[in-house]
Amino acid sequence: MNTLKPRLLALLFVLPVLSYAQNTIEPYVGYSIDLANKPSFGQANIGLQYPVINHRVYQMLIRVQGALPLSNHSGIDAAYTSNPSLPLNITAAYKAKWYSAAFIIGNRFKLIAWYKNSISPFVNAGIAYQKINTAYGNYNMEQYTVLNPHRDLKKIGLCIGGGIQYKRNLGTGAVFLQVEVLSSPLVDSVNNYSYKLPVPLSINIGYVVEFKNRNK
Amino acid sequence: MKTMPSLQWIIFAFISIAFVSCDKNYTVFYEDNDAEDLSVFSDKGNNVMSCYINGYPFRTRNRMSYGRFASSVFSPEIELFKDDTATDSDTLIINWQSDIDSPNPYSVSLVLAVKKGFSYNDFTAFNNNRLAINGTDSYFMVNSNRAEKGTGSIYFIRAILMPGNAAGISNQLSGVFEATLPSLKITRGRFDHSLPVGVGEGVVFF
Repeated sequence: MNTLKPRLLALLFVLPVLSYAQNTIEPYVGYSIDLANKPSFGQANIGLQYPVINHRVYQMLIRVQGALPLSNHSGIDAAYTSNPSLPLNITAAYKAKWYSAAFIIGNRFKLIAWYKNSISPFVNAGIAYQKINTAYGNYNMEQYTVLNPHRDLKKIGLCIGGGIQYKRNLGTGAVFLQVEVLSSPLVDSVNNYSYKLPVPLSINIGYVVEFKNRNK
Repeated sequence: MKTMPSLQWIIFAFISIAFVSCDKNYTVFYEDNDAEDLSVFSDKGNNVMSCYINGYPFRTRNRMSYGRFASSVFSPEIELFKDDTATDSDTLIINWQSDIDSPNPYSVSLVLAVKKGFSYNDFTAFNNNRLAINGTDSYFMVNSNRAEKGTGSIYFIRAILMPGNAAGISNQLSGVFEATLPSLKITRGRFDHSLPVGVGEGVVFF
């Protein structure tokens, strides 16, 4: 978390200046699947993106997103004991869940527009936190030890990504659908014992909330 | 600017090269989610043993090769010896070592009474076997203190020693153990080692 502090402090200085320049905010929800692990993890996203530069063709957005697990991995490992009075091995069931959070700066370009519709590709860069949490069900862990156990994976680091957004203007506000892929945190892979770092492919739907400029 | 005489350059380069280290760490430590400060129980040749001794975590030192100019020093975390001085039986000693400057204890050992003429094949017979350690002819000890012999049990999920790595199979030792000594209790022990044989960077000395 210490690595995040300077960036969060910088944001505190930037946000008050930017808040006078914008007139929309874009909450969204969606679903992500992990492209890196097989079988794949899934999670539900919730996020908010905010255009800090809002030109007709180009927008720069800041964005925060969190995601909670929907589909989990589960399986069975073998646990062993040296105690001769107990059975040599038992099974230990585990579940693995995928959590993530990200702070992203995006650049969005309006590519095609017709009637009330538009299509805009975008590229992202930011900081992503990925966690795969594993937990074993009840087993006698004082007497038994799981062989090659599934372990937690936690990483935070820079990430990059991109996607495309379809938006339909509703007069007051707009709805949008965006598909995107985000890299896993760009960190070394030491200690990636049981899982690869997730690479989320997301589909999100959201609403563009308009509000009046405070400086007009 | 004055140029340094070539002889001085050569001496400077020689000293620089002599101090260039080429260290290699053969140990991989993955902490067990269910046992704080202990390594996972694995059979992948991670070259680590860990356990709780009276509730405090103990782990072996990293298996290191310290390379220096024209020489290298090998520092293993495990060593296997055979004592064949007795007439009726041999003794196999498995010795796990922590860092020399780490707090006590600095070693945990298992002494196993084995048959006379104990061989690699006999060692491989331990594979997937569970042994009860009676505390008399076979025993655990800490800091090489034979005055405190411990009872316990050990399970070898892998115990493989083949001359010259026959059939491409890796020499390996991994398993779990528990021990009770007069003044110490060793719990949740787990170990996983590759067992290179031979001079230089070997850990098997029989």
